[in-house]
Parts: sequence; structure tokens; C-alpha cells
Amino acid sequence: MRRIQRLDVRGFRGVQTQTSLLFDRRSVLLFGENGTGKSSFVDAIEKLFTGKVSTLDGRAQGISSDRHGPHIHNGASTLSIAITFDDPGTTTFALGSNANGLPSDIREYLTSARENLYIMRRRQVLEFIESQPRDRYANLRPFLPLTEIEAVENALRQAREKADDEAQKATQDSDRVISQIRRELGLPSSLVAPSEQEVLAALSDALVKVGQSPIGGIQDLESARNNLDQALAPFGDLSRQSQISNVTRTLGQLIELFVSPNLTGFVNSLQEFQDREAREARVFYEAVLEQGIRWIQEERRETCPLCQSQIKPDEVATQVQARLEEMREIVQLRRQTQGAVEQTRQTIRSAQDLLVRLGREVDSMTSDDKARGKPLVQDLTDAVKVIWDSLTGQLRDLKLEQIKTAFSLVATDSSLLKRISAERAHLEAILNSLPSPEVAQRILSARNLILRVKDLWIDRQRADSRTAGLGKQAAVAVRLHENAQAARKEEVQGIFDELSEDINNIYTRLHPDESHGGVRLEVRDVGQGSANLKANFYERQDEDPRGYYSDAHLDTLGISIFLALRRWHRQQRPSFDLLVLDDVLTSVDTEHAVRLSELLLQEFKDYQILLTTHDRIWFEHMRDIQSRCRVANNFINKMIHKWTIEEGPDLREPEDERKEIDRLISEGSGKEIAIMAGRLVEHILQEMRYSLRLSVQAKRGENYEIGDLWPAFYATVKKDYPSLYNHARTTLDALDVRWPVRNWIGAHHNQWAQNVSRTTAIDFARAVGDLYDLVFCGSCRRFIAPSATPLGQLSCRCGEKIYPAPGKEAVRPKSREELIKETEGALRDARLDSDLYLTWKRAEAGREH
Amino acid sequence: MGNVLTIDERIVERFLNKLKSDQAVPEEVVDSLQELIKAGKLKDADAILRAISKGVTEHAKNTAP
Repeated sequence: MRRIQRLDVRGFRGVQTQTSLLFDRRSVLLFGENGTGKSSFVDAIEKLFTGKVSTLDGRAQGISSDRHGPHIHNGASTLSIAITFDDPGTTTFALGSNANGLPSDIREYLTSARENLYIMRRRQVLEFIESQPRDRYANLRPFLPLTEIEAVENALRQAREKADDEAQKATQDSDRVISQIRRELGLPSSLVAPSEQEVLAALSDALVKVGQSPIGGIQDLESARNNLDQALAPFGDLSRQSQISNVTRTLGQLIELFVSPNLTGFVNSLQEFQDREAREARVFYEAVLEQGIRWIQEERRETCPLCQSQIKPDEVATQVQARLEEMREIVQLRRQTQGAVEQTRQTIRSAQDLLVRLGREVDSMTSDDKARGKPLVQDLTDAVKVIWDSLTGQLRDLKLEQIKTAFSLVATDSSLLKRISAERAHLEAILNSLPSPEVAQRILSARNLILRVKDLWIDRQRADSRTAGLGKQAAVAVRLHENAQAARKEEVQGIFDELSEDINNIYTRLHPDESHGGVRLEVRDVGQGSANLKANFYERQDEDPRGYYSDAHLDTLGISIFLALRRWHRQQRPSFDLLVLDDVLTSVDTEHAVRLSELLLQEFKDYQILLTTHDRIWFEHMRDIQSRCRVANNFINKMIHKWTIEEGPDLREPEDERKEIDRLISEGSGKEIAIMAGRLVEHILQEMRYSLRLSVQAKRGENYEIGDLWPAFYATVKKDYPSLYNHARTTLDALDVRWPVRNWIGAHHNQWAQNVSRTTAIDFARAVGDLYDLVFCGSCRRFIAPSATPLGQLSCRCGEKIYPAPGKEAVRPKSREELIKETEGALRDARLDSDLYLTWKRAEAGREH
Repeated sequence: MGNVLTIDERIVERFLNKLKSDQAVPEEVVDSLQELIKAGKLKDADAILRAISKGVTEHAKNTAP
């Protein structure tokens, strides 16, 4: 398993110069006050691994990590972020580089890190709890490895939609055939689907009129045609007459169709609707309002689904209902117009069918007869296509002017309709001039009718059968999709149950003996993905925790959820162990913060953690707890001493600065010596500021320098810690005179200070080095701090450096082993119990006061 | 050690079990879908439609009087 060895950042966020955060494959606890650049390292990790920074990208329009990531004094060209791993080749992955050539375990690590499921920031703590069920599911979704099944579900949904489309088309085809049958037989449109008996009755009527017997079934159509052929035989060859008669009839049907009221009335009804909507409601988004009400009511939203503004759900629902009611007439008109569009489309489809038939019929005519008919069919086909195209799209997309132009092509006074009428009249004239008695004409018409209806009846049976078959398929497709959704939801609920148990375990560990918990994530039935969050509070069960929990409890709940999710995700990708918590303990009190620290150190000890905090007390607690949890070696505790816009966060260790002073005294310039000595003394004073609780005049940004800290330090040591003062008097008094040297030479470019000698700088640096040796213990790597007891004593953690309280013997701090012995093993048996620790800390504090 | 199913596989298995107990889904459709799963084509909407069509047709044949 690979771990991070080092993070190098330059020119990004608050880091201007090249700065390294050393992990050494361990976890890092990073302390720095607000605005000292802690989050810059977290941002850098996120940018490098995911290409984004969640606090910038997508936060607001115009804000992005590409634009706002580079340091404000540097262009993007100097930006560099790189992580070095602990593999034998110490592979480095830098921003903008290609991972393809890297070792497979590093590539696997980078793949796992590509999606940010391991960084939690302060502003995200409550995000999950505060989000709406749909957004909450969206937040959870990346943790769930459901990509494959979602693709399957998507395919099933597409199959369902396609099956539904096919079934609808089949129904429309069937309806069209039926309307053709109605038209052929002159049946009223009130007969929505004429039965076989009704069709037979109409056909029998036509047969009887030409002296034939009625028929009893569709199967009799063939014999009826034979009978008609026999009746026509005495009249000789009537094939030309038959062809012309067919074309004449079809042309008549086309005229009938183009002048039908649904076609002519459609343009008017569309115009009326569009005028009314423009006049009374502009564009009235009925579907948006209806869907909005559904979301607000079903998901109990308290923000607008469109703009996320806060809303009062009941008021909005009432207003929307009232608006829908006001617009009832428009809603009604919209539905009628939609119906008219569908009907018109059907009419045009019928025209297309008739034109196909007309084309066949014209082709079968003699070349003289079809000379005018063929171009007419082509022109009609083109015109119908233009009309069809004008009707494509949703109701709101239809362009009235375009439709008017298209429809004018076949209007009553159009040239095309005149040509149809003229052609029909022309063919009728030919027919009348041909030698066929009137009786033969009528028998011929009956014969053609029988043939057409016979074909149409076959078409209808096919269409009905297809409609039924596709209807069954569509119904099955719906069941498949619903079953897939249900299966996914049940499985996800299983995962949620597992997660809920872990969230609950974490939460109750942070809040033992408190009468709440029972945290539960639930998949909601509505929508594609939606998740509820419930919890118990005393006797209240399954409540929204926001209703009862304090901010601090909601904070720890948010952290518990994130940690449970991170742990769950680790199960899916065991070789990826990074966990980043960026200053997440803002409103959590010390007691719960200590419990969280213990939980992290014990239950997440096999993670590489980057933990940042601006809370000095918690930082110190965390360092203590590391020892108690026996994971001190797993952690590097880093402190950002100060931050400036030019230099960024100052992460140097005091030991390094001490060594650097010795080197510079041998070979550095006076200015270099003074700068380094100034840094070290500032470093020491920052530590002393906290441990000795120095009284310093507050400054904006808490950016204290030597001039702010030294007088308070010197006065406090002199007054409250005389044994240190007596021991270090020469050094302290010397520094009390010399500390301004740093500012003369090192920090400011005062012309008058240019003549300060190197010797003066060396004297200053030596005094700083001596002070460091007096207050920093190289064994336990801690600065001295006031002992809890006796009051007035200063000591490092291990007791190697002790400055006793006035008039008292030095008292060495007790080791953990000594404490275990004193408590007769209670501390060890308690397995690092937080309560015992807190009791001990409180007792210490009590003794101190 | 037996095979541990992934979450996706568990969901597909649960899905098939649901289909088997769903009276509205013919057995023949479930068989066709299982063939589709074996062929790794459950993410292809057209293949699903064909499987449904095949299953429904076979079911009609098998249940014809």
C-alpha cells in the first residue's frame, strides 16, 4: 500500500515560495491560526488528485481553481504541486503530468483519489445533513459503486421508453387504418373502431345496390369479388376504367382530407392558444409549477428547487395552486390544442398513406393517362412533407407562421388543390368517354371498394395484432424497469443500513450516555434517488435531527456520517488510505473533540491522515492523546508559526532554524544571520505566547512579531518564573537589548541600519541560540511549559528541562507508566478511556487553580 | 472461499429473483434476459427490447390453446 512521502507546493493559494509538507509516510497534524495557509495544502492535494478544489469550483459563478488557485502575486506559470510517494523509486506525481507511465500501485492510488471522497472541510460538515433528500442521495452516490447497475437501469429505462413509443406508434397506425376504412365506407367518425359486423353491413349495402347478395363474413369478400367480376364480364375489358376510377376516388379522398375541418380549424385553434397565452400568461409553465409543487410537498423542501432560495413550502404550494386555478382555461386550451396537433398529425399521416397508394395507382395507368398525374403526386408529396415538418416538436416549439405557410400549400384556393380537382375532373371526363354503361361503372366501383376494404381489413388485423403484441412488450418493459429500480433501492437500503450502524457507532462513541442516536439513512420511494436522514432524540423516534439536535451535535453527526462513509469506501478500495479533515471541529467542545481525536487515532490508525486545526488547545490535546493511544510515531505534528503574503506559511522546525544559525555564523552575511535568528526568536516567542499565556496587545490577523511578543515574554519570565530568569539572566538581558537587530538588518531596509556590523548580528544570533537551548528540550522535542503542579514550575514533557517553582524542589512530570501504577492499572485497563482522561485533566486544572 | 458478489452483481441477482416472482413477467422473458446477462449485454437497450420481444413471442406460443 502506497503512502504520501511529501507534498510540495509553490504559487498556489496562500503558498508563494516552494514549501514542502513532509509526511514521511505518516499522518500529519497541522496547526495554524486562521489565515495561515493550512487549507492551501488541502486545496493543493485536492487540485492535484481531482483537478478541482471543492471550495472554489462550482461554488459560485466566475470562481474556479484555475482562476483563483494561483497565488495572487504569481501567474499560473509558476504554479506547481507535486506529491512524492513512498515507493522504492520515490515516484513523484505533479500537477499536469501524465500518470500513464507511473508504477501500477501509484496509478491505482491516483485512480482511487480521483474522486474526492476522503476530504472533509469545515463548510462541508453540515452539508449532508442540511441537504434535501435528492441532493443528499447525490452526495452519497459517489460512495456507492453502482456505475454498472445504473447503466443497466438506464438501458432498461430506454428499453421501456422505446417499447412504449413502438406501442404508441402501432396504436396510431391502427387508428389510421381504421379511419381509412371509415372513409372508404362513408362511416361516421363517431364509430371510433367499426366492428366487423358494421363493416360487413356497409359492404353488403354497396353490394346490394349493384344487385349482389350481401356477405356474412370477411372471408366472403373473395367470392363477392368473383361475383362482381362475373357481373362485369359481359362488358368486356374494363381495366383502364378500373385504374382511372381508383385514381379518381383517391384524389377525391385527398381533397376531402385537405379540406377536413380538423386541418382547416387547427391553425385557428393554435393561433387562439398562442394569442391567449401571450396576452394573459406570457409563457405559462404549467409542467414546471406542477412538478415544483410535487417536489416541495413530497420532499418537504424548504428551498426552491430552481434557485435554492429559502421558501415557505405551504405558502408557495398555495400560491402555485391558485395560479394553476387562475390559468385553468389556458391549461384547458393547451390540452385541446395539444389534442388538435395530434389529430392533425394523424390526418397528415393519412395523407401520406393516400399519396403512397395514389402513386401506385397512377403508375398502373397507361402512359397517356398518367402524364399529368405523376408530377401532381410528386408535388403533393413534397407539400405534405413541408406540412409534416412544420408540425414536428413540442407544442411550445411550433411556429405559427411556418405552419400557416405550409398549410396554405393545400388550402382550398391553393394551386395544388385546384390541380387535384382539375385532374379528377379530367379523369372523370376520360372515364365518361370510355364505352362503359353506367351499370358497369357502379359494379366497378363496388368491386374496387371490396378490394380496398379487403386490403385495409388485412392491414387492420396486422396493426391490431402488432398493437397488442407491442402493448404486452411495453407492459413487460415497464415491469422490468420497476423491478430493477426496486432491486437497486433495496440493495442500497442494505448499504444504508450498514452505514447507519457505523454512523451510529461513531456517533454514540462521541456522545456516550446521551439519549439520542439511532441515526438512520433511508432510501425514499420517490424519484430516481432520494435519501432521508432520521435520528432519535429521547422518546422521539425517527425524527429529522435538525429539529432537535444542537449545532455541536449536528456537527459531530456530520463528521460521523463522513467517517462512516470514508470507512465504507475504504472497504471497496482497501489500498487507498488517505483521510483529510480540514479544520472540522469548529463548534465542537473540548470533551467531544477529545473523544473524536481518540476515535481517529484508534479506529483510523491504519489511515494516512492529514488533520488541520486552528484550535491550539485541541492541537495540544491531540498531541497528548497520540501518546496515550500509542500512535505518536504515526504522526508528525506541524505548526504554522506565521504566514505572510510574500512567504506563505512558515513550517520550519525550530531545530532546523537552530542548526541554520550555527552554519550562518560561520559563513553567512550579517543580514542572513539576523534574519534567521529573528525567525527563531519569533518561533520561540509564538510557543511561549501560548504556554506562558503572555498578555499581548491584540493585532488584526493575530500576526505577532518580535516587537509585539518580546516585552511581554521578558516581563512575564522576570515576574512569574524567577528560576528561569535567574538561570537565563545573561541571555534574556542581552536579548532585551539586542532583539531590535532583527528589524534593523533583517526585516526592514533602513538606510541608517546598513552599517550595523556582522559582529552585532552574531551576538544577537548567539543570544537567540542560547535562549533556544534553555527553553527547548531536544529529548522530548517540546518547549517548556508551566507544570500543572507545582504552580510556578516550568518543565518540558519528559522532565529533562525543569525550572522549579520559587522555593520548591523540581517535580518531574509523571510518565504514563507511573500514572498507570498510581491508579493501580485503571488507566491501562480503561484502554485510554476518554472519560478517565478528561477527569484527570480536569483534576489537574483544579489543582492548578 | 466462495465467490463474493459485487454490489452490482447482488443487485442483478435480486432483480432476477424479483422478475421470477412477478406474475406480469413471463418466464420466457426471464430466460431471455438471463441469456443476455451471460452475454454481458444487459446495458444495451435494443438487446433488452429484442429479449423482451423474443420472450413474449415464445410465451404466446407456449400458452397458445
